[in-house]
Amino acid sequence: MKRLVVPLLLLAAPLAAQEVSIPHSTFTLPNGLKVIVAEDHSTPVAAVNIWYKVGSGYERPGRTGFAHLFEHVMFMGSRNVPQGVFDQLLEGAGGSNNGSTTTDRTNYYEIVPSNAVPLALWLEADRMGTLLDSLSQGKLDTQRGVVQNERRQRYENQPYGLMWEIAYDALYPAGHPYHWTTIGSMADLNAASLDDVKGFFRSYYTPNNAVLTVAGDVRAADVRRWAEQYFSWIPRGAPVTRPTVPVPPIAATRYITREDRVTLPQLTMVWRSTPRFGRDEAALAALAQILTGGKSSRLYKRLVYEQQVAQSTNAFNDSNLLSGDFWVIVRGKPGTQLNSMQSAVMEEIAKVAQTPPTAEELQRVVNGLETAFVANLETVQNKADQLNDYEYYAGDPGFAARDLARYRALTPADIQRVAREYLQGKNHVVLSFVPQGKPELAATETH
Amino acid sequence: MNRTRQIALGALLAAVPAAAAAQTGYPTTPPPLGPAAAVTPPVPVQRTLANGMKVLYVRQAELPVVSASLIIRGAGTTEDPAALPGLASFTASMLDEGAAGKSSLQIADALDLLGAALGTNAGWDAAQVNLYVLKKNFPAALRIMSDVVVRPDFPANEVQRVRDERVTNLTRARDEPGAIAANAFQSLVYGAQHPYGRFATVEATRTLDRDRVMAFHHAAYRPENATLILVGDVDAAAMNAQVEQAFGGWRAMGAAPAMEGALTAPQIGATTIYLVDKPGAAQSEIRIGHPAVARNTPDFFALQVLNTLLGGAFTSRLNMNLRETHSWTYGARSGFSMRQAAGPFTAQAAVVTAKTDSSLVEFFRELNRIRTEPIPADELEKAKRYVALGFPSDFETTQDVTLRLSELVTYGIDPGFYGSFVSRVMAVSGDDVKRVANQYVRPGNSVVVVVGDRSQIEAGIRALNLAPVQVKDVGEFVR
Repeated sequence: MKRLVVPLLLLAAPLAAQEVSIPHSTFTLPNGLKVIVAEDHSTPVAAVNIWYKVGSGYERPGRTGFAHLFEHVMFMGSRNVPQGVFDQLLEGAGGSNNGSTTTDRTNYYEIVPSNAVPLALWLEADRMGTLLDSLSQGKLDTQRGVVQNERRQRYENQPYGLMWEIAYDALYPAGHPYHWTTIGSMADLNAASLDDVKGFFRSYYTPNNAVLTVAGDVRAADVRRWAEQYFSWIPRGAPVTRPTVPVPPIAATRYITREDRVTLPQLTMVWRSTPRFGRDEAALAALAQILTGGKSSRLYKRLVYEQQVAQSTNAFNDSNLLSGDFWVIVRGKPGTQLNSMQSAVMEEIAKVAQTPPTAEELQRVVNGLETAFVANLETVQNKADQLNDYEYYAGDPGFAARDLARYRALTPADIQRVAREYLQGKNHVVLSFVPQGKPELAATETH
Repeated sequence: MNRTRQIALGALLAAVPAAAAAQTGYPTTPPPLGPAAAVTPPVPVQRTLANGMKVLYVRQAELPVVSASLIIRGAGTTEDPAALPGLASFTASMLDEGAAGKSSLQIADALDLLGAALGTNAGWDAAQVNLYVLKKNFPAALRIMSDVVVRPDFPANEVQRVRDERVTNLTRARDEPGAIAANAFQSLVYGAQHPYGRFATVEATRTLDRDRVMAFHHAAYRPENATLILVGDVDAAAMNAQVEQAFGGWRAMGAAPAMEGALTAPQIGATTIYLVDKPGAAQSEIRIGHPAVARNTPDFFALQVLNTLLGGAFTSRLNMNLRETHSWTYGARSGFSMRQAAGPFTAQAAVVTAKTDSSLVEFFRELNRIRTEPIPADELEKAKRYVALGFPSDFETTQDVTLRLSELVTYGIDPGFYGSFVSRVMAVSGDDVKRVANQYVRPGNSVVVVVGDRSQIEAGIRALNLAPVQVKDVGEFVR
């Protein structure tokens, strides 16, 4: 909820965009911890949200999944917080908490009644400063087991759940940090040791490698006082080197078929796109919506609505720190030959590359994005996460106005151009999931 | 755990210079909580249109948005004919597939151009149409919302298309262990004679047609059973004319349906374990439960606290046991599904195949223990505070408020309900929890569903001698 001093977005009124912003202030402690505060007194709740600039993209081969396993260990207690007490204290204060890991960063957050903000900050400080004091083999082993069950539940026991793993393996060469997924492999999870935890903590869980954002019913001066009291004693760590791995283009179009326990055949096609906040990220995101974002979107209308040969279509651009990918996923009706889906995708891309989409098609997409942008700011947690996201990827927590401006400035010609530059005729990965015993449904090289 | 190593490690780290040295002013105990802010839940402004439709307004104007929900009581899944499970849900999903002479695509395009999100669905006891839109575009979006509710056309070709999509979805449900477990559980707990026990099948879905959908709409979609909830940058004085214009012409088209009467929940005899084979499954999906309690129960608050303790929070007993102590699952939980009649109590988890039998033992240990052992005072206090102090977060967004009010509307609960919520939670005693645990958690009279790799788990489950084991075919529950 949300007071965002947002000056409203006039949808029909074109790009005479009013200013949009998420008001905030920042300061940095002497040990390098940057703090962002966004006051919002509309509800007596606040989000404490800390990003560590480390994710699975910082892992080494043989230890895939480690950044995420480490995230779990962070909840197992620290010097002044015995095991289990972290969650007990927060729940007893009416708060909730969680964390998440991506290729690029790991976040931790607490959503609390505003009187519990000092508690949440202290809990974050204690684990940033003293996690290793109470680390044990038992704690690591417990969370290793939990994470392996997370892998079973969310990937292995889900239809098509291994799509990501298979695709990333093909999209990025061995040695590239996006070659594997955040969940990692069972074997590597088994190999993770206490020494790995200690080394990772000392390298990456330092105040100078973190950004703390507090959004909600707080006063910036109070947050500064608490941050100084709880975090300033934690010593600065060695500077962290960001991975600067070159991203080779996809060398050749690859076809992969997986027979699985699925009823519906599914076609996944992935192209290389652009890193986060790269020049064409907004145009690629809009192109994805034009292909599958509404009932009148090109692929949905053709395959699901009119021909009724597909059950669903889904396209999106996924841009990260080092690189990005453009995904198109079509799930066919039972028995559908995926070559026909593949042809349809290629034809629709070719049409956009040939002729720009209509102004109204693009306007629908931009208007939907604007509503989603405002809706996202209704919770203090989303607001805090958005500020951290801008800080990390755009280098400026105040990037909101420029972010939205990217979409408002799009023209149909931009969409046509990115369809040509990134998709049409470019190498890509084609992954077919087909029912067991039905390899003949898989997509094959086009003639 | 390994206490020796913990101590050794602590000693080691104390030798690292920076860690211990510069901690002046850093507290080694948690900072105390200041006084919690008093929260006043929003009280809606109510209007009633001439046709009987109610309108609730809640002004929450931090952002220029409107969240709208139209609740139509008596148009939910409970009213499905016994032979046609899925009719209410299908009718709701067809509302925006053509209305007031505009095609499905025209409606979708108009909404997209307004940047509006419109969704339709049927719950157990009501159908619901939800709209989220920037305030500027609310008037235009509201007119579309009224078209799809009041003047749906149900074009025959769209009926056929959506029906085929549903058939395909049912066909693929057998790929998903969670979907199989859900159908098996509700069916084995309630049976086909009870609306809560039925589920949509391919055979029944194929018989859905335009006439049946129209008839259901005419009978069940009635202004006198409908309430429009508007939350956000709204103002009853300024907006009621717009609402009157959009919905004032709505008249029920058919005779009022004979609503499902008072439903009697079946009695579950001695606990039985039903094993559904899913060869090669990496985990077993477990569901344990029985019919429990309706939404209008006087025990509502005691049950909130009970479930928080048992399986409704991260630190609840089921999750701490199965996840944090044993690491057999990514998460274990429980819940009471409260409906017009007594919905089920369910305890559930997806557990690693090799520990399926051990997990059942731990589930039953916790289900029994909460009934027999006294609740420690600090654990009770933590659970009560979690529910009571977390209350403001339940009203954070416009859609949160809409959701809270829609529950009251659906079950005819007084709009002042939330005003006393916090004090009534804090008034729950250990004896209250113990009493409702014994009344509403019945491990000796439960249905246990396990969907997993039979070849790996059956022998272990039988060896427990926990309860009789029956093997069921997946085709009974997904068909």
